[in-house]
Amino acid sequence: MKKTNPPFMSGVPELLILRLLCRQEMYGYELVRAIRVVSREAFDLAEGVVYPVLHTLEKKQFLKAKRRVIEGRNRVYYAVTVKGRQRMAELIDEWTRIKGGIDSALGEQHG
Amino acid sequence: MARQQFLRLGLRLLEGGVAYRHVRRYVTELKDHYEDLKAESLARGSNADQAEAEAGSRLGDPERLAEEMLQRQELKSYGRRYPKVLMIGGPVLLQVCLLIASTFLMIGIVQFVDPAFISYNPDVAVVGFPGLTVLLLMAIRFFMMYLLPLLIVAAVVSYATRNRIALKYYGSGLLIACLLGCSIYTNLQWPDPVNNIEGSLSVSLALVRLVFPPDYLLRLGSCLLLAWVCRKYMLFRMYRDLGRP
Repeated sequence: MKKTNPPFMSGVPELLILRLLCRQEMYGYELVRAIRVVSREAFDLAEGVVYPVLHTLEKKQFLKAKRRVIEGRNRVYYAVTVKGRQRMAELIDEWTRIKGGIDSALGEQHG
Repeated sequence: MARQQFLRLGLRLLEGGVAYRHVRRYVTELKDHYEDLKAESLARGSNADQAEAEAGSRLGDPERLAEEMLQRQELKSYGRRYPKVLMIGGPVLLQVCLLIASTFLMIGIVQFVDPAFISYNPDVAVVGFPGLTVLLLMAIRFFMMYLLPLLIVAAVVSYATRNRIALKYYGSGLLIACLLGCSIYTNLQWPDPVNNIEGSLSVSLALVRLVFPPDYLLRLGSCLLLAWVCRKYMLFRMYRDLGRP
């Protein structure tokens, strides 16, 4: 029997953030802008809520944070760790499975 | 969001048990994000009031921003999660462990320099020690008797104040640790080869003997004074850091 995904939507922000930070390290504002672009503004999020997710991912050692002074401002840049890449691969597998299930269900409904 | 709103958000998170380092960084990141959003809005041609309103709305309602952080148990401080174990047991355990470690270090130095003069407990002869060893022993003695209780007070009060831990927890832990720490007495008798007098080293606890030398209250008082100063200073720093524009 395949494993279930109890917090059904809880992995979405985590997956998006890990995927984007895999490409390049970013600070919060940059990251939110990137989320808007790649998701084609599909998520209407309060931008500040990205930080608790970032802190949690850092606490779980999926991300590492570095302070940098850019144009006189102290920015916290986040980058994905090796553990974070493994977690991202797990999340992608999980979402591919869920997406397949939903596609199949929708196809059946419309077919 | 005004400066006062960021400060209120930070204080609310601390009251809720979120660790200080996360609160401080969160508030700083939110302030920076707010400034970026404002700049973006101004660049699009909004006036200052419109830019502030738009930035505040895009950043999120302060209530929501607080809830998002408060619901994450992993971001709570250990002191708030386990106050009895950490804040009562911690200082006492730290005091006892460092006391034992320092005593063994002194004995180790004596033994290393001249093993033949290690005598039975509690006195250890130190005849003919080189000057550097004597200095080292004096430094450890000073650390054990005077610095150790003060360092523990400073560390515990700083941590407890920043993480908003109830006084009943860290106060009890500190009181026991200070009563114990301030009652440590180390006596070093320097050898006198001219008069053929052996040196000795002894460590005792006034609390066990119930004989308190005159400086006991002075040491205890300095610990309490340092606790008060540390608390005031940490509160000042906390408000300054969280309320900084």
